[in-house]
Amino acid sequence: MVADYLTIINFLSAGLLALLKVIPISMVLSLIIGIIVGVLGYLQIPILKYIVTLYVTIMRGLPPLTLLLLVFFSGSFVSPIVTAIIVLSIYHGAYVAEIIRAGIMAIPKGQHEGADSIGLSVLSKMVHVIMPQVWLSIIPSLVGQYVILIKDTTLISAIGVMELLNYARQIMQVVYRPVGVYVVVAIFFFIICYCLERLSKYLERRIKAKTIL
Amino acid sequence: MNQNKQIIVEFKDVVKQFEKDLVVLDHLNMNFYDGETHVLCGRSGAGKSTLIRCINYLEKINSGQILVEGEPVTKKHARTIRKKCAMVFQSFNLFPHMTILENALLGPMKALGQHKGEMIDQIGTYFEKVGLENKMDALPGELSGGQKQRAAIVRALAMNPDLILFDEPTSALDPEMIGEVLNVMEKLADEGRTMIVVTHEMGFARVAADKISFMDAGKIVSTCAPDKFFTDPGHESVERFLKQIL
Repeated sequence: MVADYLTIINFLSAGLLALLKVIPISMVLSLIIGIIVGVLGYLQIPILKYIVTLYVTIMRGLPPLTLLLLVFFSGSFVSPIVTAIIVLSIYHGAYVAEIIRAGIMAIPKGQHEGADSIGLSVLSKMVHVIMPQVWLSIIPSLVGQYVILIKDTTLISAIGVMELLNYARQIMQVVYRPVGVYVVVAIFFFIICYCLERLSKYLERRIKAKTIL
Repeated sequence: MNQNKQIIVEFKDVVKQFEKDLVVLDHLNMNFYDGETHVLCGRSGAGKSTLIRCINYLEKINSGQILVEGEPVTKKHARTIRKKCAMVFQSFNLFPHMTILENALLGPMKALGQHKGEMIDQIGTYFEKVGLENKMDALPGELSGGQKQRAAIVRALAMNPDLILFDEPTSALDPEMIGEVLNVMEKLADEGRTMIVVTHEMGFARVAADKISFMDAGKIVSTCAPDKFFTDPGHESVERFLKQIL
């Protein structure tokens, strides 16, 4: 039995490695998309504001699996893993954008006026005054969104990415322990999400220590 | 009495409305002069804060024109004008994630393009002037209200502005902290800095102002020197206001 579990863990580790490529890259890309779209959404620049609204509305109205299959079968990207990263980034980027926009809107008007009153450009104001304060308030929501992103990676098995679930299906046929296999899969996912949560608590504490509001 | 002084801010028939029926500045014509400390007083809602917020384009006027050193206050010129007109707010508006030294350095470095090395000594002398030389590395959250407001004054001075706008700088302070901020403002007035001060502190107006204007319902009702303002303001509403406040 122990040998079976060692085989399962060993076999699933390859799937875990694939996920450890998809997850951080998708997180970083969705954050970049989220910052750009969130700030543009807040600034309400003519024309761009409609594009931003359209993008966010479409992403929020689509199930991620549908989007994944749509992009994959449209043949836009050669590799399933690239498709998965791009779809997850674009999809979750819309949600991150809304979190960031809401974070900016929660910053008191006085902070914007304080920055304006010393002649800062919009970019300087955002980079030096507003966004550093936004991070503190949005870390919990952002982590929540990233936990959803991590869970959504289970969907990418549908387009043939060799990740945990695909490996799980394969090893199940060898060891005939479906519950055992999925318990290991569940533990792997739990560890990733738990680590992320601990990291967010650490970041929150660090930022709070540096900022006495 | 203004023959030798240059106009620094000029209001020409300025109208500011917040809603259709709420006229806050009502066809206002007024000049502010270089080197003067001009105190604006009046009841709450008279339009005092809105008036100074229009000068640096924190509020947009509906009609008329405001000129700062001859330059029209428009969206296009807003940043240029803000670099010349620093502002001190009622609620300080210091950036909580930066030390007060970083707060003071941000404008000169990012808006004026100056280097930290050039500015640090100058800003150090401003902190000494307001008695915060030992607190420069403190975050705003670690300071009292009076200290925060003095730090906000340093942030304004660091821009080396031609004009400083004060929007009720002592209204959010506990009584024992008002004096320390007013002392700093009196020093600045003595140095001949150009200041427009919205305040209810009539003691400050009496000793530090070159001129006092009284606003009522979006109009300037009276403008005169402090001696005349407190003895013979020449308008019934000013006399009523002074009776209530003094």
